[in-house]
Amino acid sequence: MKLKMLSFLAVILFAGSSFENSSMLIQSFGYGHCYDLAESIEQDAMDGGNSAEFSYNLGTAMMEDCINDVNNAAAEYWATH
Amino acid sequence: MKLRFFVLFISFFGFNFSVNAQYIIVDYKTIPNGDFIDGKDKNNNSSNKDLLNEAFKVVRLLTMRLKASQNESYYWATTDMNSDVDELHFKLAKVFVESNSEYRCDLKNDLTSRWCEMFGRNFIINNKISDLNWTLTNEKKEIGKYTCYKAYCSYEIVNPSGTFKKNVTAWYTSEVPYRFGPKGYSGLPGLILELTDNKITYVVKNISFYKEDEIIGDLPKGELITQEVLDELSVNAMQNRRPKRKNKK
Repeated sequence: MKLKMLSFLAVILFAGSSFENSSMLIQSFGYGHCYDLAESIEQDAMDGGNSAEFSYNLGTAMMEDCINDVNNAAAEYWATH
Repeated sequence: MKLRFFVLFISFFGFNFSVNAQYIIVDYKTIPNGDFIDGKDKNNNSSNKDLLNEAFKVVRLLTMRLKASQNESYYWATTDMNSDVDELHFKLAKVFVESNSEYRCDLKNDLTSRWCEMFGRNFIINNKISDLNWTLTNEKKEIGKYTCYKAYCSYEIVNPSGTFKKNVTAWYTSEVPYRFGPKGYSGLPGLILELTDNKITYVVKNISFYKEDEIIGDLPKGELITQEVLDELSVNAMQNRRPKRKNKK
């Protein structure tokens, strides 16, 4: 019975530490800089006299590419760890 | 003498063929003029500037196509990716030439319509061709075998950064009597062989004349909208990304 209890606790502790690690990793693979990049590109495009529609499309293209890069980096990390 | 007769015969035949054609297909090459972000724009950060200017050069690899009958035209981007090009640069270059838009012009109804796809929705923006207010000049130059005349017009862009005046220059030839050109610019006395708008010059690469009758297709379906409302939606969409970004951090 004690052994069962100990095994259960070990599983819980392991799961807890894995969750803690994974949440740290998710944070390091965040998309925040992609939104910053899009905003900065959109502002540059509008300052250059382009329409809001065009600027949004340019920002979107940048953001999509950045998000893909983050997803690929995260996938690669999880495949090798 | 024989040679002169031959040249006369060929020029007459060639001209006659273009006049009798029922429709034409015109390919335009796109040439970037200078940098997308000039050195004088001091507010932007240099990594954005370098990336956008590099991508702007890739515009040169794209081709736009116009199909026109006497009264109607359809204009779109043909964007096959060149394998030597960086994927992001190519994606941005397609944005520069507005490859998400297609144009249809109808001279009889004085209508130029643009279809575009944004926010996962399809839109159609209608404008009058006569609203372009072209100014015709006597200035001329040769493009290929055609004598072209210069015309110009302008339009305004209003965005949250301010109001900007944009000038458009077109070189058209009355020797090809199809009154259309790139990006819905039309209504001049002949085909536009060269057009400069917003730092990109569209230059004719090839004109094919066809004798068969051809129906110029309709644009895909879309919600009717004005440019002003579409710009407002775009500004809102840009602002909506900001709280989303904060939540993700």
